Amino acid sequence: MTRRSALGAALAALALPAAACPLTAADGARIDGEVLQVAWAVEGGGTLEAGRHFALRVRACPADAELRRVDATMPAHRHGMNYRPQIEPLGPGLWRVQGLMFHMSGAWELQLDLRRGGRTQTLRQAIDLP
Amino acid sequence: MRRWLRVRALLDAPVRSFTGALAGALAGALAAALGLAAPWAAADPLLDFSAAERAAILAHGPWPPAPAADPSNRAQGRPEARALGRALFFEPRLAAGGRVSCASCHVPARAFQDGRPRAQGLAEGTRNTIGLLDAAGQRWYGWDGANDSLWAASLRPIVAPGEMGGSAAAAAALVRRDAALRGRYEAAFGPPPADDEAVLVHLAKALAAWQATLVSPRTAFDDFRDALARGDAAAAERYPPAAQRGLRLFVGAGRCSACHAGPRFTNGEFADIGVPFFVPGGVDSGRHGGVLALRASRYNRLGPYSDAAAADGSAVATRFVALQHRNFGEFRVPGLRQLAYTAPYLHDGSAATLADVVRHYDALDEERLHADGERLLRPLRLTPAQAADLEAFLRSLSTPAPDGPAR
Repeated sequence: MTRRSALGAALAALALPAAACPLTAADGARIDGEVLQVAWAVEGGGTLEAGRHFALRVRACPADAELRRVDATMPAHRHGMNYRPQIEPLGPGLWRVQGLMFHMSGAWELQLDLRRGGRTQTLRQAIDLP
Repeated sequence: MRRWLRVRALLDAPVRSFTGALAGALAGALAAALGLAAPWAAADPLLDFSAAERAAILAHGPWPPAPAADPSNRAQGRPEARALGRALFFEPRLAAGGRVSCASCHVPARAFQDGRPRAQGLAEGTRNTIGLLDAAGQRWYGWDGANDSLWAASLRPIVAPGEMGGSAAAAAALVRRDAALRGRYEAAFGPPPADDEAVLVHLAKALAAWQATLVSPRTAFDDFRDALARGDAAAAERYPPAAQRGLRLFVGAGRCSACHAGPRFTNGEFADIGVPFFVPGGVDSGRHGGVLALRASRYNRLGPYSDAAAADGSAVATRFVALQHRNFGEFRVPGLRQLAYTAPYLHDGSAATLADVVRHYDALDEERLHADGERLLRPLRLTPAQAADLEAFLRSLSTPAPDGPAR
C-alpha cells in the first residue's frame, strides 16, 4: 500500500459512519456504500408488487447526506420505470419518495444517488420481483 | 374410469361415446406408428406444474375482481348515471350527422369491438378498436394511454372529428331539448348547468358508469386456476391438456406473463412489440404522443373536472408518468379476456387471427425491436404443436359464446 492510498484508507475509516449510524432494522433494507449507508422501506409497510405504485421512506447515514435521485431499472431488459419518482425531504437524512412502480415481475435494480462532501455515490440494490 | 377420463382429456374435447374414445385411441396409435411426437401421447390429465408455475398461474386470478371505484367520477356506481350512460352509448345524436354512436365501433355482441382492422367512425382511423369489457379500474385508456380515466376516454371520441365529430355545445343542446334524455340527466346530476363543457363531462361520466358494469364472464381458465388454488385435481383435470401446455409456455419460456400479467392479463403499461408504426401520412408515435396528450388534457385526473381532490392518490400515475424516448412506438398491453371475440388483433389490426398473433411473436424482428435497447422480447421459435398449444390456452380465456358463462 502506498502512502497516498494508506492515507486515503485512513480518512475513509474516519469518515465511515457505521459505528455512529442510527440505522436499525426498523428502517428497512440496508445498502452499505463506501462512506454512506441508506435504509429503505415501502411506505405503509406494504410489499412490492408488480404493477402497483408505491412510495419509499429512505433514511441515510450520515444524516447530512442528500438524496438526489431515486430510480430503478431492469438491467436484463435494458429499461427502467415508466414513472419519474419525486423526492420529498422529511427531515435530516430522511426522505419520502413517491411515484415508483415496477411494471413487470423480474429482476430490478433500485438506485439511490446520494451526495455528501461534494461527492455523489450511487447505492444499488437488486430486487427480484415475483 | 380413470382411463376413460384420461382418454377424454387427451383428445382435448369431451368424448362421450365409445366411437369417440376409439377414435382417440386410434389417433394415438397412428401417431405412434408414424413416429410422430404427438404432444398428448404421454400426457397426464394434469401437468406436473412446479411450485413456481403454480404461483404464476394463481397470479392470473381470481376472477372477477371486486368492482373498481373511480374517485375522479362520483357518478360511477350510481344507478341513475348508469341508466343515462346506457342510453347515451346507443345514442347517434351525440355524433355530428347522427349516423354513428359509441356502439357503432363498440359492438356489444363482439365483446364491444367491431371486427374491423381499424376503427370506422366518421372516417377510418389508424388503430384497432379496443373492446370495453373490464374497462373499469384501468390505469390508462386507449392504445397510447392518452386518457387516465374511463370517463375521459369516453369523452374523447365524442368530440374527435374523425370519430363522432360532436361538440360540447351540441351535446348540451341535445340534453336540454330532448325530454327523455333531460329526465335521465336530471335524475343523475340534477338540472344541466349553463356550462356546456360541464354537461359534456357529466355525459362522459355517465357513459363510464355504465361501461364500468361490463365485466367479462368467468372462463375455463378461471375454473382451472381456482381448482389449482384449492388443490382440486379432479376439477383441474377438466382443463384441456393443450391449454395446460400453452399456459406453461405463457408463464414460462414464452415470458408472455411478464407483460400480460395479473387477472386481466395485462400490466396496464406499454410495450413495443415490433409492429411497424407507419400509418397513412406519417407515423403513429404511440405512447410518446399519448403522454403528451395526457398532460395537455383538461380532462385528466389532475384537471378541473376530476371529482377527486388534486392530491388524491388515484392520480399518482398521472402525476409521476415519465415521457421517454423509448415511448415512441410503444402501445398499451391489452388484456386477453374474451380474446376470441376481438379479432383482428394488435394496435393496428394487422393480425387477423390468434394464430397470426402467435406467429408474430414466433418471428419477431429482433434488430428492429432492440434498436433502442429493449431486450425482453425474443422470437419464440415455437414448434407447430407448441404454437397450437399456446393458441389453445389463449382461447381458454374466452367463453364459448360472447356473453355466456363457461360451459
